[in-house]
Amino acid sequence: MSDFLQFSVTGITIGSIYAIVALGFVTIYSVTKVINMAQGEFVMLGGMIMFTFLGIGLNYWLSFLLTILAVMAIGWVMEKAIIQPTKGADPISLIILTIGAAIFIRGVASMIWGKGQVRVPAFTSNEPISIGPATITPQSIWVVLIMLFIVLLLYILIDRTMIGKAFQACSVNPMAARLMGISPARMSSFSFTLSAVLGAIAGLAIAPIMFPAYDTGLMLGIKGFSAAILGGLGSAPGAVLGGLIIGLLESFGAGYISSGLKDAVAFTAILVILLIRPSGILGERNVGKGGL
Amino acid sequence: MKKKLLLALFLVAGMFLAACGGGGNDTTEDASNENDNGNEDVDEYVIGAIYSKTGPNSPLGEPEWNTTEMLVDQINENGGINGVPLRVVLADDESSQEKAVQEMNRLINDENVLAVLGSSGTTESLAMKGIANQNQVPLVSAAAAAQVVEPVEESEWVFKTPQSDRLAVERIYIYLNNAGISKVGLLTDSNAFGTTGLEELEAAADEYNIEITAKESYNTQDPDMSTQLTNINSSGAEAVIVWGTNPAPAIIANNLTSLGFDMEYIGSHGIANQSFIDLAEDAAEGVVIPTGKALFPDQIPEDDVQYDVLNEYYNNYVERFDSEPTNFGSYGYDNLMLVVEALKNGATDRESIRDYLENEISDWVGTTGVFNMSPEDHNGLTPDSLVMARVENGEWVLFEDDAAKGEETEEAGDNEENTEEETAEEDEE
Repeated sequence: MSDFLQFSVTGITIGSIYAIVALGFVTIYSVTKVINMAQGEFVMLGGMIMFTFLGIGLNYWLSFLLTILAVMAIGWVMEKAIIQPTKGADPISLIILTIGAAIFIRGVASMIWGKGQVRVPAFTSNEPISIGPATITPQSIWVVLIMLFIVLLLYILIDRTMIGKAFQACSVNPMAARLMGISPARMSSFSFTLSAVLGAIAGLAIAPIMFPAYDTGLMLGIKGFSAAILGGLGSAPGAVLGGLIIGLLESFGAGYISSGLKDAVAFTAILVILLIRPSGILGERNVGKGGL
Repeated sequence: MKKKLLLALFLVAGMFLAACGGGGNDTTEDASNENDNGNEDVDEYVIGAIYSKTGPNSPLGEPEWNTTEMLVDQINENGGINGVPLRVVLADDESSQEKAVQEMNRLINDENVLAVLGSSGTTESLAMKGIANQNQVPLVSAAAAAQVVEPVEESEWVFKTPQSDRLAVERIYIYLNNAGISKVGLLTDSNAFGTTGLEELEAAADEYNIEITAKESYNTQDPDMSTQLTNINSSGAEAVIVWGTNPAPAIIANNLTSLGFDMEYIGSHGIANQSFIDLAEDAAEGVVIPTGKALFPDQIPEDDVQYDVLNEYYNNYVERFDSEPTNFGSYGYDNLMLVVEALKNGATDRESIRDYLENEISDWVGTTGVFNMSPEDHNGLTPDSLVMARVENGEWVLFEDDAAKGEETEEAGDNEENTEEETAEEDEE
């Protein structure tokens, strides 16, 4: 029983990490129907830039803010540089462009920070907290809290504000949105900037747990993408659900079946779920109308 | 218009190729000029060395490369080998198998070398092994895996200086026997390094009366290993042996500390670097690993046969390059010096160098260990070439595990003056 509790806590920790990355995918997808394969790189940049700012002796929370701004700028530049000039290209081409951007960012990062991992201190003290027989680190709780906060924020933004309506309009029919006076180009730029911010926050939250390196984004990108697909692309609560399910499956798979097979267990389950619900758990049912 | 553009592109590409080709010719010309100079006294010994100076294996290859350069200068300043100057043709395989094969062929056929040293990684070395056997050129590798020199029937021309995983495993088990621990859980990386480690750990367990209570694995980039540790703890293990390279072992150290289990953390030689301690910080305290002595030459007792050779090498290296040679540098040292030893003793063609290395190297003191080569063993080391190190106050500290338990802590405390700063990382394989 105590093992079960620990497996659950660990599963939630891992799942939250995947979920927080998945939220960035959702933001861009819900506006442009593009899957930004460089999302994991935004997360990596969050951790690495924070490390640099701390290294030159800046205050923790000042570094925190500057990191978010820096990654935000990178997201904006990326959109301006590769998405805007290819106006009208179909999403598949744009997705391939983002893969190129990801490889580029990774290469530059390995030149700037080298190939080693870096350590970023935790937000608050690192004394583990006991939940009955199980333990969890404060940083993991921060990850969960930040993730919930972002979901709430995205929900309000997309479902309760004009900008959110404009987001959805661009996603459903860019031409009609344009006729209504919404600029899809500006919305696309906004969504990239926003998801870069989300990526940076995710990176900042995860860095103390994971020891980021130039190639961390690759693994996180894959897991986050899987979470987003599982939850139903375009749905923020879905992304969270997807992330948590994958995290728990991995943890229980490792705990009760075999740690060597944990990825196999998790991805078999994902396949089964997607066979039953091809649009993901909370996904819209009109799959095939846009995006992939 | 388009055609013109295409033509222009072709021209540019052509010029580029020509430039590259020219560059290549230059170097060979330089080489042959040097050759002429050397040929004034008719003879010069030419050895080839292929190390991964760039690419993912560069933390391994760079100290090996530097060491080779440094030693060649030293040997020639002191009048060469029996008066004959030594020339080492250094080549970088960029951590790629294809490049390693290419350079190997070039060294053997164009440079006509007496022997080849390298490479740093296992895959590159295995690729070079076939060429060495085929062309009957002695190869001394700096790769960790035992397959490089095993089975010995297929490794007639191949030797290696780093301790095989097997020795690291035996060294850990000897430590466990001394510490009175018999139940261990294994937590290994699912990559090549971790799986070979797992195989060796399982194979040697019976011989040392070690009971493996749990076998768990993880992927190098996994964010949390608490689940595996919980299972290992529930299996009744007294210690957990973690076989992998950064960052996962550091994450595991953190997880183990926060779970608060009463299990000793034993790492592999894959984390014999400062970056493990930098990442895990407090959680690294008390972690025990087997390592080569080059991690901390100043902590080696003075009566150790390797003391002089290690410290002289270490100090020279630090003076010249302003960085630590690490264990990898010591492989570079032994690779070259073994061949030099053969040349010194009159083995001056490919076949006699091979024979010398196989039959005449006994109790030869190197920086990695004391070598005893034989037709059955082309590595020639025993588990005592490795020592146990423990993290104390943020540094790796040597400790004698065969001493009585109470003395250990005192002895470790004496070693505080040591200020090791090692940045090399072992992302081997």
